[in-house]
Amino acid sequence: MNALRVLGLCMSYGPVPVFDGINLAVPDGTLLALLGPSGCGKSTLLQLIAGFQRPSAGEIWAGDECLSGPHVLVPTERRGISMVFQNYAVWPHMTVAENVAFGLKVQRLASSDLRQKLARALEMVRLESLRDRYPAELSGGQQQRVALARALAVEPKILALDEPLSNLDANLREEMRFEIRRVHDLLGITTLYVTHDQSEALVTADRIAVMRAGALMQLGTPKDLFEHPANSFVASFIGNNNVIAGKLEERGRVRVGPSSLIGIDTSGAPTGASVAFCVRPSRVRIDPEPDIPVNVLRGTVLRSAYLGESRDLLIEVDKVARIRAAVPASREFVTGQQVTVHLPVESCLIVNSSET
Amino acid sequence: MSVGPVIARRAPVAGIADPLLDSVRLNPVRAIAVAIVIVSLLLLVLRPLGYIAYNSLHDDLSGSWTLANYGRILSSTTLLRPILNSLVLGLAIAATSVFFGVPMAWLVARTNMPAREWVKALTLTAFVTPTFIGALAWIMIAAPNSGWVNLIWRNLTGASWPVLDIYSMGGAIFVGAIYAVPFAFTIVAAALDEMAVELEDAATTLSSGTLRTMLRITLPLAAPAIYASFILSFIQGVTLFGVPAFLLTPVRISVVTTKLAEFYQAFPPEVFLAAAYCVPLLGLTAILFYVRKRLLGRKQFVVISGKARGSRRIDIGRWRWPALAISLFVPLVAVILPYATLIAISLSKAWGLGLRPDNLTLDWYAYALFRNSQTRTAIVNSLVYAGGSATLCILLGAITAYIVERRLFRGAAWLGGLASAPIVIPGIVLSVGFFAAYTQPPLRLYGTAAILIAAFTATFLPIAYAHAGTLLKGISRDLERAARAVGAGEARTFVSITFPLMRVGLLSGWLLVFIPVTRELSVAIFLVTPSTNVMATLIYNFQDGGNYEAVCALSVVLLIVTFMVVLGTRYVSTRLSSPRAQSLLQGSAT
Repeated sequence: MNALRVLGLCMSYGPVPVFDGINLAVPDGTLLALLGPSGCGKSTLLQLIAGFQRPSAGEIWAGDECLSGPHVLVPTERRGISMVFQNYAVWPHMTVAENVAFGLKVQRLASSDLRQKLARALEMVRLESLRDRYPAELSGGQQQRVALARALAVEPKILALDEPLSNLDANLREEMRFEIRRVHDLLGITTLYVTHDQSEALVTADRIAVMRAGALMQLGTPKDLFEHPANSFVASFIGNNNVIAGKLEERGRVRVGPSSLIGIDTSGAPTGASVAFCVRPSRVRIDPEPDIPVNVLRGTVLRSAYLGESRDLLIEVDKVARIRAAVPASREFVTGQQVTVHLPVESCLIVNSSET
Repeated sequence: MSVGPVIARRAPVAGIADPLLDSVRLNPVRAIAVAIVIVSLLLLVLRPLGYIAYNSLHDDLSGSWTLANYGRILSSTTLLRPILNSLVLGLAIAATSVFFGVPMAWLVARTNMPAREWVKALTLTAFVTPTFIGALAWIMIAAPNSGWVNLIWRNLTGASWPVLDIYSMGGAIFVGAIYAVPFAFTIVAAALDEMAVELEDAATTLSSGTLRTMLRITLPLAAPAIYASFILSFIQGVTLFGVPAFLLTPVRISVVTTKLAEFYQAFPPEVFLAAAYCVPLLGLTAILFYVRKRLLGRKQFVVISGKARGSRRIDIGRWRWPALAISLFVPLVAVILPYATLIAISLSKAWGLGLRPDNLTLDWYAYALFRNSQTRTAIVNSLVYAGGSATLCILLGAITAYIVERRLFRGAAWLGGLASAPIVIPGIVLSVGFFAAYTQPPLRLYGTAAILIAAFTATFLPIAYAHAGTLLKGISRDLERAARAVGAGEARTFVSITFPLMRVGLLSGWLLVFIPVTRELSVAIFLVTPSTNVMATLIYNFQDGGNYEAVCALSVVLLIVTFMVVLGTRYVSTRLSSPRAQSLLQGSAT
């Protein structure tokens, strides 16, 4: 059963389309991350699902209830979708408890019921001790936990998180990622999580929808995306990757400049098509033992940067491609040094080019 | 892409074709609120303006359509002359205001002149002093026969002629200008405060001297603010009523505003001619506001940086004391002399006997506050009308701003335009409009408190609307969305979230309206009756009665009321800056 379905959703600001016919299905109890660079339309999609804006076409369904369609626009407050915002949006004129209880008061619960649900929500995000504080007296992370408790207290059908961690500093962000995942595992509420940070998505989400320029690029588990990117955009967006443009010579073989490279072909593209050849920097090997028959290139070191844990090399090969390689920090390289580069076949992927 | 199979769709709700009907059905509270706002704005702004336009095209005697009113104005020197006088008065006041205000602003904002805080405080005191009270005080100081400066002059020199004559165009320009200086002073000082000090430093590092830096860098950067303050002072000058009525009418010099009053005093009143006579004034202020808006549209030119500036100031060396002497001239003539004179007269049994211990009394205050029913009524009326119109203004301004800011429907911006329109309407023109619109059936409100409260509300609605708009811009929409997302409807969200977050700011907005209403003269002038007199109109009507001691006592009462409210505002805003209240003020949570 899908908790949420989006069918052919279109949105435009004046003549400029934000997206054009998006389809998406979120199974019950899933934590789905909407991942993409800024301006890809992921936040707008969330706004449409929450009902803050009216789509120009398409439908949004929650279970078997139509939330938004050609003749229907259920207002936000009747959608059962709670939201957590990037800027917390904790009401500054109310205490922590008042913030969290607000939604329950709107529901006109009996006071014993209300107290119980309030206590449970505060406990869930571990804010019992701060219940009478005002938001100005809380840290950013605490404010975001208030926002989370407030959204959860009303027991929503769907929880929407719009870049919830972007305003937090790095340490807190890491901590809150696990916090969000923990709460999700506890309650199992279907959750939409908008973020531009791939590591955030990889840690928290069951499934990730990668978006770009208003289009859905790929929907899958974090492992799927990392290991089997659908196209060159996903390949380059998830994790570090060398993405080299080339032409498909035959299945599993790509022509890049004067070289012919071999990899695992997931593109399904016809011979002669533009494809992308991908290999992660950590898999690239420099100056390997001799006698390797394929995917060995000569190159020049353009830049060598010491990163402590490793060394980051930028190598120009065959004057047509630049390849990054992560090598042990102990190995020394100088700019201009001639090296041999080996791209192990089992680590190389051939995918469709997302450039059109 | 894994999209599940499309489940059989439930038939959507029956189609509603009309989006307007759609939103009314979805949200009746919103529809009612919008309807109330639209009707209020039409009644408060459009109807009086419409009546001015309509009346100006009708004949006073026959009531038929005509262009004769405009013809009469254009062909008669007695009608053209006041327009010219108004322009002269306005231009002279604006020029004087900038001439004094800009150097004062520079000295206070930028240099190490001593007693800067005093200059600033006294100039702001001049700001809140009603100009007609300033004019009244200057009659006591410099009337050719009875003004104390002339009395002293004649006693000292034995001359038979006065050294100062306030009943003259020069006198009116002088009084108008000293109370317009604060406009130039505050606007330019604010611009200089906001200007990044690095811009001047950059010039200094290129070995430009203090004077050169000021002329080539500081002044050009402050230019938009200077132009804007010139225009505001000009508008203030041409729309002044109390000053020319007190200082020019006795010597038969007319300006547009006092001429309008004459039309109403004529028998029968020439109401339709008055309407036509408003039109040039209205056109002039509208054009000036437009120019000002265009100038400030490029405001980023002025507000270059909001950086807190260091305490480093330009050292003007031995010019510090001469600079202070010059800077104190305006505070002296606009505040110290007039206030001292008013207080001295109000405490005298008879002013003619001079300042002597046996001539002192508090009796005139007892008379004004308790014995005289007219003054008592006027004081109560002023406070009640100010309270009522400030409340209405803030409510209407806040709801209109919400509708416009949150774009509740297409074309909502028009409501904002309507709510801001009165800013270009001179008070006396609004008075003419309200008189025309609400003195005949079916809306006969003349003689009631309602017409005054409505006129005051219309006058100050732009302030309330702009203030509420600024407050709303500071409240992140996500705060409202968060409430919607946990199940609160639009009305509930406004009442529980938006309004409480605006509340503290709205209180200061309320005072921003309350203070000027207590002293507004020109809006009330054609609308009051003996039972609905306010302090300002009473002082206006009293001043030719000759009982100066009582008039001065009443003026002092009015000033005290004003300052108590101003100080009250201060007190409230300091109390509200306590830590816990701070959390209430941080509405934006961003």
